[in-house]
Amino acid sequence: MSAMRSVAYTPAAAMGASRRWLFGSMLALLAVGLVMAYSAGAVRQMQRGTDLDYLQLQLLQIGVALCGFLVASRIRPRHLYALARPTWIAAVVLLIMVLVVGPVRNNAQRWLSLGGISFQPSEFARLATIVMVGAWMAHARDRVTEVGHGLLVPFALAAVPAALVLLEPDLGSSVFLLFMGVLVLWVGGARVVHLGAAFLVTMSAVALYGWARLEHPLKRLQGFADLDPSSQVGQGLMALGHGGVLGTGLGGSVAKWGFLPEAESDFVLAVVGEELGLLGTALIVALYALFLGHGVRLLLGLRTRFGLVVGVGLLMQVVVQALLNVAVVTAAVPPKGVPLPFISSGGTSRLILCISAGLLLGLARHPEEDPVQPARWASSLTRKGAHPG
Amino acid sequence: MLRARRLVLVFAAFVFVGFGLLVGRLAWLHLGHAERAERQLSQSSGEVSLPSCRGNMLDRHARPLARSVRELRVHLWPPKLLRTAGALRTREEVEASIEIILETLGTRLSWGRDQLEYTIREALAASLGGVQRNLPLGDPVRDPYAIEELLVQADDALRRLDLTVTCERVYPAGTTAGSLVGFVGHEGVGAAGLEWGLEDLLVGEDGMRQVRVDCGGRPILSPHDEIVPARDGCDVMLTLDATLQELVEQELVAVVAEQEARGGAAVILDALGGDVLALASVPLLDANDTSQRLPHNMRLRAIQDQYAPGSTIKPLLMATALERGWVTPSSRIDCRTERGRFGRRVVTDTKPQQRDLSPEEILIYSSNIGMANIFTALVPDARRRDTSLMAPVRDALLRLGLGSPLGVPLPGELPGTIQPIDQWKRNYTLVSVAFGYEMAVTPLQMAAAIATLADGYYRAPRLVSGWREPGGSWEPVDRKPPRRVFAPDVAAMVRDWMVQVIESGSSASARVEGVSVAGKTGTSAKEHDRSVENHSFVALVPAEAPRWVLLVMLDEPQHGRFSSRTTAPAAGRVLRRSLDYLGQLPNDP
Repeated sequence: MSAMRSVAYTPAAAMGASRRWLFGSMLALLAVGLVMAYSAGAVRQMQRGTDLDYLQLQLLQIGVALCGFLVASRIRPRHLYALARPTWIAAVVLLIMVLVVGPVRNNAQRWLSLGGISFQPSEFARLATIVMVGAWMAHARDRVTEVGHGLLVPFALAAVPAALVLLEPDLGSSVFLLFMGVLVLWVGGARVVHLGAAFLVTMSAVALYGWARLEHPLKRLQGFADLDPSSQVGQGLMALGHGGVLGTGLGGSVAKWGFLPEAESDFVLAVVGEELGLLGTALIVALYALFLGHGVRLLLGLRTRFGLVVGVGLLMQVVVQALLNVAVVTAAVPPKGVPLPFISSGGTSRLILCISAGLLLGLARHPEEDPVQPARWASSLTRKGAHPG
Repeated sequence: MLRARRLVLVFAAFVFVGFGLLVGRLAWLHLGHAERAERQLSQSSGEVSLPSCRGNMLDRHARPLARSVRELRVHLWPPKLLRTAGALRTREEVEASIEIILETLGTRLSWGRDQLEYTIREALAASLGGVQRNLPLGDPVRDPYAIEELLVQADDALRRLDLTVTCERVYPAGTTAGSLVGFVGHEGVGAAGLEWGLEDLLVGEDGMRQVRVDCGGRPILSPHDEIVPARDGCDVMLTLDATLQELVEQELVAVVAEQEARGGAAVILDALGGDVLALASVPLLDANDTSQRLPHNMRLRAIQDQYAPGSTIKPLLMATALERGWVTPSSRIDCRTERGRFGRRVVTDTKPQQRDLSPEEILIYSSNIGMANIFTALVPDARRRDTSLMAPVRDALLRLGLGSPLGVPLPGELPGTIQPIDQWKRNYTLVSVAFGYEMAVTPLQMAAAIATLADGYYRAPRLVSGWREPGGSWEPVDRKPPRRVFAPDVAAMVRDWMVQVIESGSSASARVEGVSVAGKTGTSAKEHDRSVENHSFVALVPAEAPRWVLLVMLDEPQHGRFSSRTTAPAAGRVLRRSLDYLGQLPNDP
């Protein structure tokens, strides 16, 4: 029982090792992504004729993501805390800009182009929300059990960007963003009863909105119930079945030749499974488990509420996304467009996830640095203007 | 903090369990669904046909008359250039593709870079305006080196164009033997002439490449593909001599034009082998020009025209009579006009002699009355209904290859007509047959029959002398064994008399200086309209030891009353030019 009551802090030496393991597993996953980009590159080159070689593009994106990781890993907790509010505001502004000036692609506005670079602000908004809600929960300290400090304000911090993402419309990303916000709230100390009630109300509203406004979630659910072999999921399952234990060999995938939509992004695991077999897919899951294990060890070494709450959000957004993607590809849950972290193509997602991993390492590098100070902006949010702690 | 740290462990535990469960599901999906693997393979399996080439058709000196040429066709389907997976590409991407196309094709197509660019941009503009056309870019590329270069680049730079390698059929000799050689249809199958008749030899067998295909059915080529190579068709060597054929056609075209005839045919045979050296039909056909592929151009008159041979049959029947002893060289036949009455049938001569004529004179004067009297003498008046007495005459004609198809590998060969024996009547059929009526022959049949007078043996005409598998050696096509019809001295005697036809008759225009020509004219009115005629002329040269047989036939000449004025002069010109080409004229070096 005593072991249940107290969880030992990770020793400093183990923290260093875990940081290296975390970085190593992330690098390995990025490398798998690069190999799959090479494998899929020939098809892309032949079918789409991009001027910039697909592999070069992926290399560039991975390079940028690694730079993001390195920069993020140097950010100290107090800097991250200070960045929380401007980052969140910037994310909300970008989400509004998407709705105003974002181009419509496939009946949705999800992208912004700035200086010739396209990106999805919803990915950035998720990261900003995790940091912002974590910062608030750390800032609110013992008042997190109150409805105002522990629920309404932080929930609103997650709900506002989630609502903007829902308007794009992107139901899946919106729910995921809200889920991460609630997770951070929960770990941050909010009462489960408050959270449960708020989550139920919100999810009902989102579900009703989805039911009324969006057709494709319904179609996805319907398709899941009655799996069509020619559907995306059906093609993914065929690819896995074709792969067997050892796979067809690198470059031997049939699915990527147009049979499997999104073969290099959301359904890249099916291509990995076809080319590298069960060994390949199990290795990838093992790498995520390794990432999770060492991420948890790092979290358990953090001595501050801010570090722990934000760190949980950063870690979970990677592994939950991985879990969800594998579940979708294996038809364990209804289809949802979630990329496989670090492996799927997609510059924004890869960059944000690498930054998340970098921020986690940054927190782990300074486990005892508590950035929570009576800041002016936080005081202004409290009714009495006093520090809640 | 403690609660938070516990929650971290709880969440992590949930995710770990989730990963474990998903690994189990992955294992189940990877290992437990063989049918999915099969479906995956079947949906991505395809076949690419590897086209074979038809065999070449060569003349007896290996000059090509029909040849297969590998060619590359480049087509532009504008949506392929403009769109990717249905979405419009950016202007920059399209411009880059156009630049690559211009760089690569600008110097290799028949069109220059400017015309190419203009055409592509016009097609793209039309496509964006809703008009889609599959556009050929330039003429097909036939330079083998350029084809290989373009095919190497086709997988990369030119992937937005459609490049197709086909084996095209060309006819290098143009109109020479055009209708005889024929052509292939759009499906690559022989549709006319020898292309039709020799289909089994000429056609190849397409190969097959087992490939993977993408979702659009487009093949993904790999060096590991299973390939069944294409087998090209066999080359065929004809007995034809293209030079002889050409000069025969030239003279035939000239005489048809001069006489304003409906058409004409000419045949040159190797008298002692049966090989067809020239087989001309006018109008001519250049099969390279598809607009010329009309029924009247495709007509092979040498085997598809039947006509009454008229007097050209007389040397053959005279030889038969001599062979059977029905007449002797010293016989005298009463050829007075009153002897031309056979029952109600009245036969006349063009040049009535009003005296007894020897068989030689009957040939020289081409006496119908004389011929009719020779053969009606076989059937006494009292037994004029006894067809068995007439049967030897009919059998003799059949032994000369008349009345049945020769079996040459050509479409629509007509058999000619020799009436069934039970329909023969002495005063009508027998009398008419004696001077080449009441029967029908094709020019080739008639030429082959006349060739028996060279040495007394009948030889079926042969059009194909050999064939070879691709890369193999020539296999000869055996001749059918010759059939003895006349004694050689009988044949020689009749030939001598035919020389006199040329020398002392009215066919002097067929003479060739320094070479003796045995010839005979024939004029026959058409059965359905007696006012129009067929004129023909047959000849054996050199008469003393014939090596070649010539037949010229005109269908409805308008300006010459007798064939001595129409076909005989044409035959003379053909003989002079042919013998000159063959080195048979005495003044030849």
